[in-house]
Amino acid sequence: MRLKFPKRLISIISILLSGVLLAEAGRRLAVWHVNHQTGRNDLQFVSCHHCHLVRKEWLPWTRKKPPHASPADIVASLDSRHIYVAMHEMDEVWEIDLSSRQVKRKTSVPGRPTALALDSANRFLYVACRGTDRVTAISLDTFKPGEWAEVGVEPVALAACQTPSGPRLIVANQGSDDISVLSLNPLREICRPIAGRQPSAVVCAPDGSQAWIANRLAIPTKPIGYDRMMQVHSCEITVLEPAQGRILRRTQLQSAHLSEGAAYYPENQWALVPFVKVQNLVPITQVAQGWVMSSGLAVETAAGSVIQIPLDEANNYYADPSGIAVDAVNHRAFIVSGGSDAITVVDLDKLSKWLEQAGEQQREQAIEDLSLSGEYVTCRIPTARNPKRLALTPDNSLLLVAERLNDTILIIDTRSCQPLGRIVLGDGGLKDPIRRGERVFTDARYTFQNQFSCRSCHPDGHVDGLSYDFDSDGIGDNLVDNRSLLGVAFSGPFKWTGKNPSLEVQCGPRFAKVLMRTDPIPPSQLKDLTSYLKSLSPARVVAQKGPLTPAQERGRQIFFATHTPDGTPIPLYNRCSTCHRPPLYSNRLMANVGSRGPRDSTDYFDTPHLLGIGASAPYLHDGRAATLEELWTVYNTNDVHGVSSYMNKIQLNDLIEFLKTL
Amino acid sequence: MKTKLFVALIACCIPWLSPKATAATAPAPSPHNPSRPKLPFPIIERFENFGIADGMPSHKIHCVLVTHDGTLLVGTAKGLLIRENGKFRKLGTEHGLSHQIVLCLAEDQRNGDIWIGTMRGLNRYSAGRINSYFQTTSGLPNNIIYGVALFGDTLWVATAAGCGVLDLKTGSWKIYDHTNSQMHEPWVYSVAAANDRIFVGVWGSGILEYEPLRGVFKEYRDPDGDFHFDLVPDDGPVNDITAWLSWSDGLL
Repeated sequence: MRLKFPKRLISIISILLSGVLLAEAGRRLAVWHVNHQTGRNDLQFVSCHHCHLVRKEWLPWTRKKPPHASPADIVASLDSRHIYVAMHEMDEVWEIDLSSRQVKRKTSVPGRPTALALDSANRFLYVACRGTDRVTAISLDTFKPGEWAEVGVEPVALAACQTPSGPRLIVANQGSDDISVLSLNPLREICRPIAGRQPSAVVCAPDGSQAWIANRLAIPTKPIGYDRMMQVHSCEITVLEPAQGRILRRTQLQSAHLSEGAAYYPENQWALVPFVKVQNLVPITQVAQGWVMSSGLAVETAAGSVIQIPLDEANNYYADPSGIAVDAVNHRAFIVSGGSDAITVVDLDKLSKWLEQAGEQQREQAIEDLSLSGEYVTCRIPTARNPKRLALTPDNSLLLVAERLNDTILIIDTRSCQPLGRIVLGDGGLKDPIRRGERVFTDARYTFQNQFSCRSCHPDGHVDGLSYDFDSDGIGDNLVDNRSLLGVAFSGPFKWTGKNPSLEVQCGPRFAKVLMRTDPIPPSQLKDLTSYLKSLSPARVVAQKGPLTPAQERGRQIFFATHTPDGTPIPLYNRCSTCHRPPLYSNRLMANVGSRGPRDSTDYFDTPHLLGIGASAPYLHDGRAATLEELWTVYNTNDVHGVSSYMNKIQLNDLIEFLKTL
Repeated sequence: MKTKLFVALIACCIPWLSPKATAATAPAPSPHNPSRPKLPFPIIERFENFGIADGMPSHKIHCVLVTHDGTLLVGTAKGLLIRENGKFRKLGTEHGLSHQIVLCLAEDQRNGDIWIGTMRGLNRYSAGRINSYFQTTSGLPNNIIYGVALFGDTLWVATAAGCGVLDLKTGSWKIYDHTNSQMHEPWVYSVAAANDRIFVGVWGSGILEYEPLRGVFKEYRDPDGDFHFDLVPDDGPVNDITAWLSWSDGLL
């Protein structure tokens, strides 16, 4: 018996030892494999998932999402009897009878119908189809789509008006930063002038003399480097003459962005544009002191001057203002807050009086005084989840609000500002975790004093084009580029420092304490949120609609090149495809590409995926490169970020053409 | 002078480019001046001079352009001048122009945007906003812009390192130079848009004609090779130097 026990012990120890030795051998083999495949000797064991076991077709965003009866836009018929609703997820437009609140007719309009406009004769309904880059005319007699015209990329808003040269349709093309001006008979594009960045809303003066286009993102004005990063950005209101499509002026909204609505107040000849005032250049810890992002309303007067006024209260914010409608009879403006589920009602007479008595300095500093909203904000009307667009009936009696993530339309009596009921379009999609996650994503209640939602920095899950001082070095004064959430699934670790291994950690309790300065998102909602984030597909690729063009193919060969054209081998660690490995075009490892800035504490930053890279400027971890070209012409003069010094300008252009197809 | 002569000679060699005046009917008296026969081209009867005293920052003028609405634009060595209400307004680097030396101008008549080529970068002037394109920040071949011309939805740019073509709808760039076209040298000094084709003036390559439908270049060289500059002794003559060209209503 005494001999048996040691034998068994010895065999157990032997097995364990063999296991340990085997594991160590496996680890060494894995490290050797990693080093061999990346050409780097500084890497230790990394998970196989960094390069293997990920296929594009396995990614969550490749699966078809269940469509919901989500209203993207509303417009009321001239007789105020019907409303038309763009159901963007269902590729349909619905006609609803206002008295019975019943859907009367439906028609299929492929391509994500996103915005609607009626012609002055009430004969045609024009639909902006964001997915197909078209405007389609629906005859109101037959309620069938007929004539269509190609416009710029991703049309998201449109408005019709009558001009001396005939009727016009003004279309905001968010994806190509331009404006399509169309004639209606026939439906044809006349011209396509450039807008600001991401034009998102259009309104025309009733006489057709001017159209205002609100642009969502700010435009950097300084061309290169830290100077550009550190400047206060401004977004643009583009003012256009609809008859010929000439740009009349470009009004700048200082320190503002996310302008997603526009309305006209004929009494004072004001154009009204809601916006978000963002303070991204000071450490983000100030959330605790309030006022990182606040909502405002820009008033452009007939003389072309602009006054920015606040819409928030000192301790309560109304995040993500978007749609706006003006009741010209009762002199009120209604502004929806998509993040706070409320409508802010502004008394335009009171606002006018305040502006008349205010001195020039008071007007200039108005946006800084959050107590000012009490002067002209008369009430806040609560809504269901995520109101986005709204419309008034032509007789100004009813206000209709598209509650996008509730699948309902709220009807409000404009005189009393009281809700009269809802038109139910769908079930709200609460059984769908992705839909529930989007409700969390767009909700400002998870931040201190409702200052902002996830969407405030990531409109549509994408980027807002700004760099933020995220206090990542512990002392502030260090900007990091805002990263897109589109195509984010399986691209971890997250943050530029790669500190967060999963989206659950990224959006979890620590994030709440650092940024949101409030209680963490509850676990079940956090799970929904990450489901939503993982469902976001990469930014739409505009550059490639078929096979690669010759230039794109040449660029592909450069991307995957192992040798320079003269036969010199490119070291493994310095090839594009080593770090930016398909299908995500990232090996998800930290890398030193020589981008360390004067305030950075490390040389190593997360390797971003490249899906949709053409639409996510600026670039590098702190956003110092405004264009893809700058990555190599300005910031890679020593071949640290890939070997690029052999490229001539044609080759560099080819490479960029290929990158835009990813 | 020799270069202009060469361009004129080439124009005469191409039948469809030859001046229509040769086949025109007999001149009739001008309505403004009955004693003068009507000519198939305008007669300039009055000259007005603008100088430093009129608000011009420099005597050195590189280009002029009259826009569709009659506004006079003048590219000078010290910025772009815009004549408004009888006065010149200067647009310089302090307003965002990439360089003070303005070499060439073109108007996009569909939207009124002005393209401004300078010694350092290309600029788009649109309702007060200037967007600048550089060789380091965009697909522009080179920062020295000798010529600009609009052709449909494309902008052709003559630069010191090839001819760049910007697709105004997609924002993508193409470059034509001595490595991928008939150009013998990369220096493109001029570009002009005709109704259905583009003419490119290249140092050492005469005139290149680009047909967009076929995507091909056609080369026009000095027919007898007699026209040349002998710049460097014992280095051989340099032929076919096109420094400037222009197209208007069938005339190159």
